[in-house]
Amino acid sequence: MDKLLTKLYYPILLTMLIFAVTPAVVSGQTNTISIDEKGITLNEFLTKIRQQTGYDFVFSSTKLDFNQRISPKFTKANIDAVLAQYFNPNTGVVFMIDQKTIVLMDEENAAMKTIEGRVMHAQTKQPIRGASITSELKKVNTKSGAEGEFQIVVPEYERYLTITYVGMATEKVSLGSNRPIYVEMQEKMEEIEDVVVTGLFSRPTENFTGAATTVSGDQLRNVNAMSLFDALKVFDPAVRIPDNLEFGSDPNKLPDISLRGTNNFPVQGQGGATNQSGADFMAAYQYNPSMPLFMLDGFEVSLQKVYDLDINRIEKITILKDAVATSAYGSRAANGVIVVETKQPQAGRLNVSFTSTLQVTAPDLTSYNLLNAKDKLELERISGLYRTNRPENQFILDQRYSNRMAAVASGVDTYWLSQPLQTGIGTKQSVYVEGGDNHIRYGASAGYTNNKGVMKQSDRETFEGGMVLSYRKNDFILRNQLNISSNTADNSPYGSFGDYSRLNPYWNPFDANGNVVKVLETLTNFGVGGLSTISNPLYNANIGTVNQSKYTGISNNTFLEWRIDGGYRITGKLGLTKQNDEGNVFLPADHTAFSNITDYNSEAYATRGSYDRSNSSFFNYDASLVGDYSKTFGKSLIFATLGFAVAEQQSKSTAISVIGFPNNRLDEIFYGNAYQNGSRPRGHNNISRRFSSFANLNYSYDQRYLFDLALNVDGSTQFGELNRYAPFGAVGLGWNIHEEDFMAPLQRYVNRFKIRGGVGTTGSQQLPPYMAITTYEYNTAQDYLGAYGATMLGYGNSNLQWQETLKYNLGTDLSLLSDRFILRIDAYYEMTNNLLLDVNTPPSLGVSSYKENMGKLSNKGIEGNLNAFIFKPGQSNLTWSVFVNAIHNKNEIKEISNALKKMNEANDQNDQQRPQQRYIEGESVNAIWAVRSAGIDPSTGQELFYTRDGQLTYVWNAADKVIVGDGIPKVSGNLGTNLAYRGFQFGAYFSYQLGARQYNQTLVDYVENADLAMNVDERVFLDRWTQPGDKTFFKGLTDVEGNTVTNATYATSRFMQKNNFLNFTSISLGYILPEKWTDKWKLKNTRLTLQGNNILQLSTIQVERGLSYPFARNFTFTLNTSF
Amino acid sequence: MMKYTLLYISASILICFGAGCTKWLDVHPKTNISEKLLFEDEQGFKDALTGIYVKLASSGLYAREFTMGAMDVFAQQYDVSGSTHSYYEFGKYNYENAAVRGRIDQFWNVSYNTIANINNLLMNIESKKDVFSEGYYELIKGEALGLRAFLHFDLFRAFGPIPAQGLQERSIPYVDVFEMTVKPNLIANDFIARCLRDLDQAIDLLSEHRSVNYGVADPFKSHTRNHMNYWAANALKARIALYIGDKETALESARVVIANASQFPFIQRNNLIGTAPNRTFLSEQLFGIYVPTLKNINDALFRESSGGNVLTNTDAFITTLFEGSSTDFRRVFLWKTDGATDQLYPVKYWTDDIQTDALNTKRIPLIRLSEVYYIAAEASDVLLDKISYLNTVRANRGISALNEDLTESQIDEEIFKEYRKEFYQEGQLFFYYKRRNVLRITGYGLEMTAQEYVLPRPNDEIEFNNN
Repeated sequence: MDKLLTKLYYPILLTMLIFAVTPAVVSGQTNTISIDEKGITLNEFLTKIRQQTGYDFVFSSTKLDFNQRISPKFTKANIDAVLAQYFNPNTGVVFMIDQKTIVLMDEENAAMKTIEGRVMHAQTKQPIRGASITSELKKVNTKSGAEGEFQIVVPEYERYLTITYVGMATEKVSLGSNRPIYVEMQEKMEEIEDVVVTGLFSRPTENFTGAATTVSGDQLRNVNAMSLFDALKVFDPAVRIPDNLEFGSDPNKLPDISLRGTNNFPVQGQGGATNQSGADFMAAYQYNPSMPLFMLDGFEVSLQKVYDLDINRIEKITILKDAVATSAYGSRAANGVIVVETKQPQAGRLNVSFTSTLQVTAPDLTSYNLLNAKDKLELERISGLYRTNRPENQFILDQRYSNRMAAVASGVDTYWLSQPLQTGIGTKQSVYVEGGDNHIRYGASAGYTNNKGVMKQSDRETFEGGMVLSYRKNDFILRNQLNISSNTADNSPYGSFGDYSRLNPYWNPFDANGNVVKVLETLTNFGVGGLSTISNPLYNANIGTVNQSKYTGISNNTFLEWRIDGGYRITGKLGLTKQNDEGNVFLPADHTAFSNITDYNSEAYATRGSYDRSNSSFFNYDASLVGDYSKTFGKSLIFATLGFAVAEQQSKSTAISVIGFPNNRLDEIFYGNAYQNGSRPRGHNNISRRFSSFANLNYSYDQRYLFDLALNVDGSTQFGELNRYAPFGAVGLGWNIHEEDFMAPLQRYVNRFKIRGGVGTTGSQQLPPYMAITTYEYNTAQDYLGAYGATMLGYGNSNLQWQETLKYNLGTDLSLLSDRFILRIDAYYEMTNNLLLDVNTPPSLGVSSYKENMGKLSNKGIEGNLNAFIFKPGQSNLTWSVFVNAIHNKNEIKEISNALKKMNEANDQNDQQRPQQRYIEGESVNAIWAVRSAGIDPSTGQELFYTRDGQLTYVWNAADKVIVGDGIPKVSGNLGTNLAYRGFQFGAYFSYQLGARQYNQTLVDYVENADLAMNVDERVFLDRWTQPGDKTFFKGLTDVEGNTVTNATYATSRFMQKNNFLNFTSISLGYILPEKWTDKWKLKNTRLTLQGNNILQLSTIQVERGLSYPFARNFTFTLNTSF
Repeated sequence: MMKYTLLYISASILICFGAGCTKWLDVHPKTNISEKLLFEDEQGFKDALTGIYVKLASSGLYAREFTMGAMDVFAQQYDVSGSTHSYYEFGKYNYENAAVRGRIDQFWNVSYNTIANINNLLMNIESKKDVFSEGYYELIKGEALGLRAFLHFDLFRAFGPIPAQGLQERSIPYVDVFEMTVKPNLIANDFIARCLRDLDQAIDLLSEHRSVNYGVADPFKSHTRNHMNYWAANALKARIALYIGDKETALESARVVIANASQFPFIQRNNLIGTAPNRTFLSEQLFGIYVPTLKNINDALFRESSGGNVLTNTDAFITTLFEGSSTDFRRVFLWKTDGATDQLYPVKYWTDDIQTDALNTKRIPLIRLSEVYYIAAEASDVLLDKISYLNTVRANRGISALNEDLTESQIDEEIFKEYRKEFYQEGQLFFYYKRRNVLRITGYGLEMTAQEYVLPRPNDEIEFNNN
């Protein structure tokens, strides 16, 4: 085509467009195309269009390849949509329609046109400054000025502009002519797209001054298709879930989760009452006082509820960290808040989506290095286990040695670690149905999860069903959400993994016929004679041992919303939750726990076997009334919320212990022949109530200056009578520097530059009620002439206050080069005053201690997150992003009570084979205390220590302990990358930590202090002192005189090691099936994903992990589809 | 219109906030009952008082250590000379030994904890006077005050100075409020004055309840002997007065009881034989504590099968103690051989041969009528009266009357012998020794000093109370 000619066309074409094309596009009825062809040429395609529509084509493109083969498939499609499929800025050829003529031209030859316009507020008729104007195809972007005016230069083929502004409904305007465009924007409060959801109210991210992280459900599922918390911690370094070295990957152990630093001392000893219902969110704090608050769809829930929630139901999660974000939660906010929102039904025709996940779980035993049978026996021999100077005993030992030797010679080398383990195949199935129109919407979900553990027969099974109905009439919206879940958690009948890791490999768990034996070895005792036996823990698995807990929960949430003209909205909410829990632990008479009872004639023999049953229930209601208001006054934008809430929690439990189940088959609790001697029913019945009122004001001036104010007054039964109401508040300020005029020249480079800061108070109320009120307990264990008496439980300190945490936060959000680099940095300082601690009293006061607000603890730190889009979405078929985040936190004890000081002394009397906690003002809660070591003295094989003042000594003394490291890393965080190309998606995520120190307990327990009668770490041979002059790391097995070394190694700096690691947390590969493949099954959005979790850990410390339950690697395969 | 609606809603909630909600926040969980709820009615006060009696009946206090256990060992009542005996270190007054110290600390801690329970009851009772039915306010308050004096006095006898030496010394705290303000260690005389003040008030309140009941309509009133009562309070007053050497008051108070001794008839020989032998001398008890688990406690201490715990004495020792008597009820009916050894086992609390479940079991006497006679004998100035008081008891124990020509010191010697015979397994003898500042105790080779007579206060008390 002649370029000159086309150029001449333009002015004429454009003028015509206004009159002719626009109505046609708007009506969209007349120019439709239906075509379904495979592999036709472009030429044929264009011809067909011409035939169907009667439109002519004008070509001014050099890039068009008319012989290119395509497979168009359209049914009654608008001509614009059909053409846009093949002609757009990405393909390099664009189109314009002039009356009945279609012009195809090269994108780079398009002329530019200048569009002017104004953006106004529809109600107030005030100009809107800072509205974002974007062209449809080329994504040219500008912002409106102080008078709402804008000017934008776009290519001539652009047809629409999109205008967005916070708090307003998005407008799409057609570019009809060169006349100025006048846009009026409507307020639309509830559909702000980019918002921070605090669970109590929502605020535009742009205007919010608090520290919050939002993660979408899709992002989470990309990291881990099964476990919400494992996924969540990748996105925010402030989420701290330390590996549970004891319980590894046990699916029935809930994670210990905290945000930023811990604002409490760790729980001392056994905390809390027994057998609380898993739904009891108040009770859980007794085990982890630093746990954040969990909000699910606007209501407080327990950790268990979130843990068992189907990850496929999650829409998004918001992590609220600082005072501005959380102060509205008042006395519950000190540990931060995790807000979970589930998917709400969308209008449209019936849509069914389905997710199916298959998970393969394999044990990770790489941290274990145990001896084989031959080496173990040799170790026993050389360390003198078979030597004695009493001839009568020597005979027994010789026999023992030869028996074991014979076993080894016959090839017995049992790998005990693998005996109780399996490769678990778990599964997760979720179905979600949604649909409706603008008046009625419905959604229903059903899910089944079977989370298999790596210990045989350990699993966690959850059934979930839910239903959402919403009805809108005029200004009212009624929404009801019902959820039912049922869960069964089976712990392995094989018992603790730790029982297996220490068994000697020369013991054979099976007899010649392959049956499991009950006794591994019978040993002849010295002196008194008689026999003792070593039991086979495998035996317990096949006799009907049960260790199970289960629950059924139901929750119903009702929302009634009333919108009133002028920006008001009133919402009433009522949430009801009920959960029943049951726990069963049954050990049959044959269980090895009773194997020491062998006398058939004894009374005890009939009492073998035990059954522990606990039942608990939880009921909670939470009702609130919230008023929202939003308004624009000139350049000011206000969001305000005022709310009131009342809530009550009731929690009950009973537990009994029954004994005497002589026959393994009699496995119901009623077959037991007696209650456990001296036991009686146990239980509790608690009720607590809370009244909250909160207010929040978010004000922005000119989009530039931001202000947040949050107030809360909580009343709680948990507080002392004299301090029933607790006020909390926070103030936040922010500055959107990118909105300033002086930033205008940099607008192309800096999309967002916000500085925000906040300060405020938050509280925590996790204290048993009797601490604040003097309470009595009926003593039913002993009567007084037929009457039961009540006695005081302790001193109820009626002056007791909630713990108060003062939080400062300073942060910045920076977005550069068209959002190519997004950086977020927050620095914080948190100071917990009034920490609730025991205060010791002279016992003459009647109690030995009581609770007082007297401790102080501070945390300061900095956290950051950087996202870089190397290839941004929408630009080409390839998108690639990488991110890295990090946190540094420093904890300091400011003040402690006399009781904690006394505990330090008591801890110095405790078992010193591991470092004991010591709390000293000015130091960290996580400091590790041990005596400094000068290593092993080559001449004696004994360890040399430094005293506190630097003298060398052979004597270990608890008084010489100093801080030798801190368990909390200097820096920890995550990094990862996402790559997408056409339908393929790839993600890889790592977590790391640097600068942490750990006491290598494995080297102490299983190498140096190892009980050589049981299996030990293979390092027990390496680097041991054997004779004077040896320069070694470990003490000798024998001393200078050749006697077995028996003195234990106490906490020494020798075993402090760096604990830096890099974890390959997750890798995922997904493929979105093209719709043309799935159309014939009427499926859309079909996606296959392969994922691997916890694949590899590279660590500077080699320590046994997963002592009672091993760690696992997971591989999942997920299929998502909908129709 | 809209704004008004909002206003109404907010206002109504604020009203609730101001008034109703404070009440709404007062919840009453069943596991832990707040004091407010407990002390809402008379039953709650009864239950709290019952709880106090149950605490007295704990093994660390009167159900074992403060009576038949450690306290009697301190008085060298048993042969614990074997070095593996679990009371060996007790017999040596080795208060630094962890086991000994643990039990002494328990005396202190549990006693003061019980006192705290009493104090909290008393702090609540005044404002609730109107919830009581006729006479119960006086009864409950009187019992509580009497118990507060009783416990403090026993703490004083154990941890306070030897009265003959140290009535001007600092002793221990007298605690009469339940609060977390440290209470000073009082001068002994002031301490005793506080005891007596409580006790006088108790006597006054209890004076309306002089009958000794068994089996009346209200179970709370049915067991006068097992509650602190008017007679016990008077006897306690006599005991305290004698302890500090106020013989006049001692005699006066003793006489109050003696004048009404018919309420507490002496045990008769036929009460000690048959299918329900009354070895705890129930009818003589002015105050005794009910211990439902007494059989287990007894069997763990006073049976051959008790092993390393067993508290016995040699046949020879007992024969000497009872001066060869073969008629003394206390020798004849309260000692047995358990198996073929030459050891004698005290059987005051032994119940295996009791065929009908008798009332007298499961009770440990804390104050008995005989002691009141002894107090009167010791406190009286008239020699004939002294002898007469002693003879009243002797006549009821199956031994001959004393001659009326005994000298004062001979009478004192007879009183001492009575204490040794009478209070086996009741823990009173050690305090007799301490009161008289006896230098030599039979069964212990060394001289007794304050070191032995004054039990050490718990370390926590010393550390946190330097007043």
